[in-house]
Amino acid sequence: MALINLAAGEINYKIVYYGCALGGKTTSIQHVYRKITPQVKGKLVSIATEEERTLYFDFLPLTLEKVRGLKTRFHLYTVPGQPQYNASRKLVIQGVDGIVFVVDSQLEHLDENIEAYLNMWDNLADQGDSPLDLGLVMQFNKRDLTNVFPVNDLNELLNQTGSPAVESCALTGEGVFEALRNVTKQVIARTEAAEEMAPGSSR
Amino acid sequence: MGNNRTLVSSQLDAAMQVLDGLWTELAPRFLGLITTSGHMLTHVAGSFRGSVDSLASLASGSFAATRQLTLLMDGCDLNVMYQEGCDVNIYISQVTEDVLLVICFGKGTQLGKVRLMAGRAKEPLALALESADEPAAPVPGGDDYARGVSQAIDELLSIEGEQSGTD
Repeated sequence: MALINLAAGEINYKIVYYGCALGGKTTSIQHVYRKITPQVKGKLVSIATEEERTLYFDFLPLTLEKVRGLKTRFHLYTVPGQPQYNASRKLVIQGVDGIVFVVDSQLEHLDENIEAYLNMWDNLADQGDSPLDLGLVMQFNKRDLTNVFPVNDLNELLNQTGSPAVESCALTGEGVFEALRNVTKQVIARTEAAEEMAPGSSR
Repeated sequence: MGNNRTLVSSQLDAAMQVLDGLWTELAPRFLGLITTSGHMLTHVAGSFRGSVDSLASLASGSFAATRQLTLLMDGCDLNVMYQEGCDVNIYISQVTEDVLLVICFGKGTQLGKVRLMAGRAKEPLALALESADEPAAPVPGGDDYARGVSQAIDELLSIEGEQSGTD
């Protein structure tokens, strides 16, 4: 759920990079941190193991210039991908507005991708959310490798919501901005729609 | 996403009054209200010079993890968390279902006093955050806002920018 802070003149959104272990979630957020205009980015925080595997989350705040007097802020998070860290994933997706689901396109990782995708549905359902109600982009990563599934197959197997899909190579950054651009636009559009449906509502 | 949380000026003004009272009583290093999903609502930074966004995300994450840990250990819910540091101590207290009060204080302030004052502040803070005197306005700007942000996103995350950005 977006936090609309009219007193501070800002709207805050939470975007989470979800997906199986070693799929490219942290690499994607690190690419954003390295390449985005310095003026809009805050500090990149990572809670990781000594082997640089995500233990809890990575966090990167982005702040856009004011539009119509409102500052728009996107808080980017990653979840730990390893199956045993599901409790941490549940905590990170609390209050999520949009998800970039990062798929490892390699043939041998199909089952892990499916498991992660189903896990995302389960964890969202546990908190009363659904991917259908959020911004969602499928980021088919590692497209630079040769042993990868065709995008059509991945779409058929994993993209049950018919969400926009972006091919990427997080290591070089190709497609990373495109996926982020797509999901941020979706959450903006959804907030506007929600406000129109419930004008003047306040929780 | 139909349940966006909207905060209006009167709510934050009322909350800030309570925080000001806490500030006077405790003279902490940092005082803030954050959401359980990691957003900063309002704060008084005092001598704290770090990133308040990082603080909010880490404090909410830490509280959420500890809460799950206590549920796992003894089945009891957690609404207060205290962490003693070398120089600065951190006290986090649940104010409402989705808002936490974070107090960072030095060795010169007694934990008992922090507990007492945070406990007293809980009800007025919850009242301030849960009731709005003025109706929440829809997002200012409406279509113009969405279009403007969409354009800003395009400019910020253009493919050209992706390729020409600097390390």
